[in-house]
Amino acid sequence: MSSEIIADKKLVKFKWNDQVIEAPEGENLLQAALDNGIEVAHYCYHKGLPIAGVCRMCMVEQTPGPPRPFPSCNAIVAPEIAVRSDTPAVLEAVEWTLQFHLVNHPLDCPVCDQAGECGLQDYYMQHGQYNSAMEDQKVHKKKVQDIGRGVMLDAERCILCTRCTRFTEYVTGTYELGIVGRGDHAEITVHKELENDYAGNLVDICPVGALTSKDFRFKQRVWFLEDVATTCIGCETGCAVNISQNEVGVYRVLPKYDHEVNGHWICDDGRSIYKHVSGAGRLIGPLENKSNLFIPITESATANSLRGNSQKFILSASLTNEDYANFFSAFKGEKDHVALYRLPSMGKEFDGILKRSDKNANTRGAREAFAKAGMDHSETGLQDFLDNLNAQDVIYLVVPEIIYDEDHFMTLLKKINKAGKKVALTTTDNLQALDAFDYLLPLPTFLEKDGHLKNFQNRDRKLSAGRSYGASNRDIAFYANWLN
Amino acid sequence: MILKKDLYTEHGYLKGLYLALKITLITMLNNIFAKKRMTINYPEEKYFYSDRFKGKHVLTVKEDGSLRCTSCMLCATYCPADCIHIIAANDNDPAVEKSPVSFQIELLRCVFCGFCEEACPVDAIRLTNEYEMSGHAEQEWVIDQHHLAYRKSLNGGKGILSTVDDSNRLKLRL
Repeated sequence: MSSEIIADKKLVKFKWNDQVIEAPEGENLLQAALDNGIEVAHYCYHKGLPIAGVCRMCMVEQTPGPPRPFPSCNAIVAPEIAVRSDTPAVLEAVEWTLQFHLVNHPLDCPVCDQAGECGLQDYYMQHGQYNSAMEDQKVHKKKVQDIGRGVMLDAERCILCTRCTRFTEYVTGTYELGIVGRGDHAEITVHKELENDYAGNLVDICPVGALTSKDFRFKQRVWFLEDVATTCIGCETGCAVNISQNEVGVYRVLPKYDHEVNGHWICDDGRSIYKHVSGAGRLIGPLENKSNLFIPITESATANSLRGNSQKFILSASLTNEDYANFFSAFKGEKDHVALYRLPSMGKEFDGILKRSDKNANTRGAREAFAKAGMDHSETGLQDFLDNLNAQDVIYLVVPEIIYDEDHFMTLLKKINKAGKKVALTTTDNLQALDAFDYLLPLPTFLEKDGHLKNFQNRDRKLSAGRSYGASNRDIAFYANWLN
Repeated sequence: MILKKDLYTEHGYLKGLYLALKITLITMLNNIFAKKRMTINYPEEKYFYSDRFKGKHVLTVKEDGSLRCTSCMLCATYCPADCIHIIAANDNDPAVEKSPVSFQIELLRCVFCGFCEEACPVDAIRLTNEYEMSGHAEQEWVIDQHHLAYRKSLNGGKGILSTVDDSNRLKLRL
């Protein structure tokens, strides 16, 4: 958060244990250590949030300096200081702090989704490994609370680090969460249901299992998942995300820190972009529509029935730059046989945090590629294209992967009814709208191809391929000229 | 190959033969005339293995008859043969939270090592001394939670209670 402000400050050297670290003067001491690959136990500190200093885990001792350990998250880097996190006083302080954090913790790791990436589990192995000295009964609080926007709250597991309350206070400014009660009885609660569009981030920043995702709830254990670092295709912002998947399917979307674009967060819409990639709705091979019943058909049979007519394409604005370039180099038809369909804008132009109204992931890249190929990418171009359709044409429509407003898409489908044969190039087959098509041909999803998108800043955002869940490896460039 | 040649040279052929086959002869005569025999008339008679035998799996149940398993997936994680497949789901009881909708073990893959038993934090899976397993189709070798917990041999279909029940656990406030 503060790194831009102090970016022009001079670098100074200081000592953390025996390691000499170089960091900007005035930088957060804990962050400087974490940036240099030192593992320091911490719960309440988060780079994207203001300092609270409540968990007391990141203790260090400075010599010469204060007479007792102090939390490093609340200290700043100064030249020539020497701090130690491995003195007996610090280790004892951390162990006792952890013991206090676990006093009322229910230890229901077997049913907790956080298990495997939980701060309590990690630091217990590092600093704990003691037997419980607790003689009194634990204080029990309310479990399994649905607090809205797909977030589940378990007050018992909470260690009161206040990351979540600080998030609703400083990032979204919606103030839904707060702490009530004192001492053992203090607990996180909501005074109204969550209503911000960034609630999913609460799940990510919670260092324990107090806030978990309803969507991901009990679907998979995190140690069975592998992360793919890629880009969100939900809107033109192009947030960096990690998508968790395994051989069975895709399970969740997590934000990935990117200083230039999205910082630490992503919006809730971005968390549901994975749903069509694997599972029942995924189109794995060509399908033919026989009176609204889709039946598998071979690729060559499809090609035979489409041959001989003029091929016209409507591309979506969420393909990669490479897709457009390959398509236009392979496409041999006339220039007015290709048009661009863009999803309609939704909501505010920019909501102040991340969300933007243009729901096409690659508007800029598409326009650039169309202009380079000498083709018309405008709305009027699409209108002319639709007016010129006739019964001899075969129209190929690239179905956008994420459709927020299916009604708008349906109006486009009504306009292409004039065409003789309608083919959808799509990744999914469970859209109601697809009944209008004669053939469905498979395309790779955004998670199955490498490439780049141009986001709202004209910055190239990288898409990385993860596992493949479709049987076909045909991309849009293949269909550009596949009948010749 | 004759290992002790001197039996023949010292005692002569018949005595040498007797000395060489002494144990074999005694065992043979014992088996013919003595009452106690090592072999049993399986399957009319059954051999009883001790409780430490690692045989067919069982899922324990709670006092109300529901599965003890919380589907934490530790057994599936630990399993060296990858033969345990669990699908977890939300349980309506907030004290339980998570329970399996499907718990399958592929017996043909299982190596009966007992690691699942070791990994289980709630005493939900055990290996019993049940050793008779047979089947034709592959599907008969994939056993689900109904067979694992409520087959006839387990208290007549009522299942085996786990040592520490959930209600006790909550009372003890562990």
